[in-house]
Amino acid sequence: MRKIALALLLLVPFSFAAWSTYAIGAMMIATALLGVLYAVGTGFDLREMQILAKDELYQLIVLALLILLLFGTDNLLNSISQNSAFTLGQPTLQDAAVASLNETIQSLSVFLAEDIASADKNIMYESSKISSCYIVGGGYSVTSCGGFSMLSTPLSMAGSLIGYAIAEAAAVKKLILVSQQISFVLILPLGIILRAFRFTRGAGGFLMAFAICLYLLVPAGIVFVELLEEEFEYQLTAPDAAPHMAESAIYLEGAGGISISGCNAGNPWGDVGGDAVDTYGNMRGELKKYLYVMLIKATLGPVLAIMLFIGGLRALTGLFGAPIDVSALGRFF
Amino acid sequence: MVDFCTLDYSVVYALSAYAAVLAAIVIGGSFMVGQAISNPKVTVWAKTEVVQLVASFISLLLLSVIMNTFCIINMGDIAAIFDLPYGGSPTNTIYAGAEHYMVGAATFAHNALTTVRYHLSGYTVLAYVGKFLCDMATGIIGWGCYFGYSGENLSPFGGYGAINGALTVVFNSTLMSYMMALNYLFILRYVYYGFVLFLLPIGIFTRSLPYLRTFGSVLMATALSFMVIYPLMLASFDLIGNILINAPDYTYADANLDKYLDESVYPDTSSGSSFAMMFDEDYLRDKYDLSNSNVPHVVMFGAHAFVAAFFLPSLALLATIASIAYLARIYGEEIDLSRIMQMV
Repeated sequence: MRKIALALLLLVPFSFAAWSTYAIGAMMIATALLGVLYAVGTGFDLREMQILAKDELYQLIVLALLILLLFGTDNLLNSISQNSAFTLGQPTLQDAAVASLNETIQSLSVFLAEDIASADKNIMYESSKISSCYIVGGGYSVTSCGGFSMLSTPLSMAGSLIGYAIAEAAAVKKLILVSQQISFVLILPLGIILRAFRFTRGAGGFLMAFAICLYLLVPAGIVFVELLEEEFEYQLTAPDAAPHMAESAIYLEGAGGISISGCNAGNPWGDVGGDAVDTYGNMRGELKKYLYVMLIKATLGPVLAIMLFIGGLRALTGLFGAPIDVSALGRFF
Repeated sequence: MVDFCTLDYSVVYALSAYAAVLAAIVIGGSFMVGQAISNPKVTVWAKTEVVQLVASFISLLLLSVIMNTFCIINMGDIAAIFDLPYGGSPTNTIYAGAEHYMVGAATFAHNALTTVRYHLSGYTVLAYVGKFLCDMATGIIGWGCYFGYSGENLSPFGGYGAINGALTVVFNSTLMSYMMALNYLFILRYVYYGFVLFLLPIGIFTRSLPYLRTFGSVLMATALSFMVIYPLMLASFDLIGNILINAPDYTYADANLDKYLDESVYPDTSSGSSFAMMFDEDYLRDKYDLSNSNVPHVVMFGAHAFVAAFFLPSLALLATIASIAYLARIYGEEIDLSRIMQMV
């Protein structure tokens, strides 16, 4: 027992950052409390208390190992974070994920604010045209451009989906930026300090798991999808690419705006149906080009990131001694 | 704001002491009865309960120490330890820091809500603008209406359905974020007003009663977790309030959307607007000062509000619930909180 206590005391010189000093301090206080607990248990011959003290001793050893692991894995995590295979030319994994999300948000913003909004405005302008002629209170009105009105529904739906996708990508980006700032500076040390004490061990284990998962797994999900895109693009442009692959290239082209055929509301006997049909055909061709960014980059990426985060959190909270059901978090997204 | 540290909770300790004494009397009585009737089951039960009573008492002392510590430590000092810029008052205690974050998150979410609502309102008003063009127009005069009513009805700004769709999604999410921020703030204030502390004496007593160990354990675990973990988690988010909620401004940081917080800038809906639009079709749009390029930022403002006011406080609550489950296990009874987890 004394040897172990001495070994724990020797851990103090390892501390080289302010937070680690406090983590070691918390561990020393926990050790002192453990000593008192063991002494009371031995003095009054309380077997339950002795067992509790021994159990706590194991937990302290585990905590000491975790602190050492943190010092050791600081470089490991950084090397994962800075591995060129994952960083896509950026300094770190997190920067790569943020760059990917910025690109996604930028593309979606252009889709929403320019392409879709402009097409929607023009289509609604055409569909709202009603030609009227009343003389002395009587007459007719003709909605001969009404064929355009069917086109506004898919555009509204596209707007809702793009808005949702922008919000999702921005939320994940915010989480990554927050994790860069606080994961290893605040959350992980706080978790270690809380884990040192029996009463706060559950919350401490949760925070430790949260810090690691937020720092590594959330950006990993985004970068994984980015790597998928690179591979997809490579397959399309490869010299031996299958002929049908060329058809898929449309998804990477980027949309160029939807052209609208004008409609003359006062000419119901003209080819007004053809105008709406032309616009529909044009819109159908252009909307396909949004799908890749919308569904793969802006939806699959964040969903994968959150799934990795939730799965990792569940596994690591178990490893750190406080398994909890974190599925509630997944439902937020 | 409630200054939790200035409130007097001595009555809770007195009640806890009474509860402990009452439990000790029950246990002592049981022990004597066990001895008198030579029933070893009752005697062993009484001995076990003494240990549990000591554990309860230690919990009370521990909570008292932690609460005092939280009232002594300043947020400014903690921020200095972790080398973080703190946006609040440096003399805030941990309890004040937690409340400062939740108030800030609610303000941030409300600002996001105001901005989204402004745009939603503006684009909706524009979408319903109607225009009638008389045939044979010369300038704004249409000779086709001279003898009757001949021309075209139009909705010049009708096509904002896509933008309205995007804003509606974010409006719902931001409204939920705002409501949740208030919900979490009220939970915190409920905790601060001390009712949770009254669970302690009840827990101390009921843990020593037959069949009520689980109930008592949950009460004590709840009191400890909500007084320690929940404020601590929220206070830790307060340390990075400048990143999360752009404290102390609580506005969107990546673009200037501040002008949309002034809701008094609504266009007049009298005939003045429609008359003005006869000469300037963009009159209403200019008055709202709407720009399509701002819409993605408005959407992202809502997303940031979601993270700061909904996701992270929910995480604090999850950590608290995890702590309750863990503490209840320490007190000797496993409880299933999975259904409560699903409510978060």
